[in-house]
Amino acid sequence: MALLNRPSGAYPDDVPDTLFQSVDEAAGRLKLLFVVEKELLRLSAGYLPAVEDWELKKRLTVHVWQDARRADFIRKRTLELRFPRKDVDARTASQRAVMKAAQELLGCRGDAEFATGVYLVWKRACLQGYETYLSLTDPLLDEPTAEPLTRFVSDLSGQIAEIEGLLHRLYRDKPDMNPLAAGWERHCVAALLEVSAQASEDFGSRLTRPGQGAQEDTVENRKPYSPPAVPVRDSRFTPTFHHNADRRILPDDRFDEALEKKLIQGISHANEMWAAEAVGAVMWAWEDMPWDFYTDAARWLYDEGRHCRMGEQMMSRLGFETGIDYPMAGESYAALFPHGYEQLLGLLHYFESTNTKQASKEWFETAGDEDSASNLDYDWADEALHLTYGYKWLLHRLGGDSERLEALRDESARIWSEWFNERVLASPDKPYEVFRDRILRLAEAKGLLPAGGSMA
Amino acid sequence: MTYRVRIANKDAEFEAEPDEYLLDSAIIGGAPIAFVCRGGTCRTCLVRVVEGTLEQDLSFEPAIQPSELGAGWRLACCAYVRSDLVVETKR
Repeated sequence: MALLNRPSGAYPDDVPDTLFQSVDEAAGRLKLLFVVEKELLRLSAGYLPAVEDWELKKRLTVHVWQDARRADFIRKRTLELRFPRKDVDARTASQRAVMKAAQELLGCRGDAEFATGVYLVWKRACLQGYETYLSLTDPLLDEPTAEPLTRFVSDLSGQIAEIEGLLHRLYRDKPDMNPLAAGWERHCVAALLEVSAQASEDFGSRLTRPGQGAQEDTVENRKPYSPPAVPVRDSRFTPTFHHNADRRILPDDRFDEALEKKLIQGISHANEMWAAEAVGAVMWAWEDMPWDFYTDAARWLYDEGRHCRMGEQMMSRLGFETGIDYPMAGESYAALFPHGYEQLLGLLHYFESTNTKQASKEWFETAGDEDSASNLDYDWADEALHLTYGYKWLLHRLGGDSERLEALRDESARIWSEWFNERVLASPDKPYEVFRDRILRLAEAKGLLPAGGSMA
Repeated sequence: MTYRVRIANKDAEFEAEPDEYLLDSAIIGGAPIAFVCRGGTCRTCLVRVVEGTLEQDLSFEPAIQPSELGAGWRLACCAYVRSDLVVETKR
């Protein structure tokens, strides 16, 4: 039997000479993994706006995309293994029970419980599901599954290790969460084992329950999750409810157009987390969309998270600290959320269809700012994809009526403009002033502005 | 053979080759048609035909509805100029 290229740790040491897994059994195992992967990516996306810890939030935007690529592969492979096409997106009673148990993960109280339930319990069970599959299947006969699954094992192990590292800090920062999360973990393991036993004999069977010392009364009276009306920002950040400036950032007597444009781009990009959160909330709310919607949306969410990291990187190179020296908020999400998910996605579609990236890119190139020009160039390329997604899926929601789509997009823009006028321009609250002062002081200290002039 | 194209609402004119898409000719001619994807999906380059013939390439299912085609709209990034032409851009 060929045992070449088997990943270490993915197979038991005593591999039998004959592996027993029929095509039907293989398809059944993959189908269950697809059900779980899909639900985990959907609930991770949906919880994104509620995540407080900034590092966890950013990691989730990457993980959701990785999850979607795994799910997409195993769905396709399930079909290749003669699984009835009409059934691949249908759910059996036991699979529905698995989905319901997974959805209860969003009864978590905060980041630590979320990460514990999703990563330490359910993603570990998924990891074991892939390992079990690899241990049962013939690596040559089923090589089209086995080869990518070995990468999925590595992929998932990496995700779990990343979040385990983050959890150490979350528990250190909030020691009172530790016993609560242990009680939550115990609950999640029990819930998973209860439903998985009906769905598959080996899914999650190697999970162990945490010790009896954990508090067990912490899971009562949990409310069903719905995304927050205002996306949560890290408590370490300076509070603000908007990141769009009400006027120019730099004062008139120290104005420098190149730096002003660079700051606006960096801050805007860093704040594109709101767009990832909007897509995430929609992925959670729209639970019965065609499968392609979830792969498109996962890519969209990931791109917006990546733009956020691009903005942070640019601002960091200039010497500015995220959320401390410049504002981090999610006002575009907050302004549209009360008007429904179509309207929320409509605003994102509006912003992306009123593209000014080409002109801005050319401006930065002319000014010799290759860093900003490159950021915009890749952002622009991503937007082409996002426009396709926005058009395709909003049109799907609106019954194919392109006039309704245009009206929806215009209405989103109107709501946003009205919100900004009332809440920012006409409001006596001016949280931006703190950042304006910090940005100017830092820009002067780091020599980003020409010498001279006085603080406005 | 080249055709003359005028963008009525932008006061711009340029030449177009019959085997090129309208947007490609506009870019070469420095004419202002906004675009993002150049792949028939984002709809940024929508133009409405005022005079002449602009043939939409439908071979890869661009994101334009039959009703829009009937009303004279085309996606410039994947439409062939078939005569002298006057168009209006949507943006």
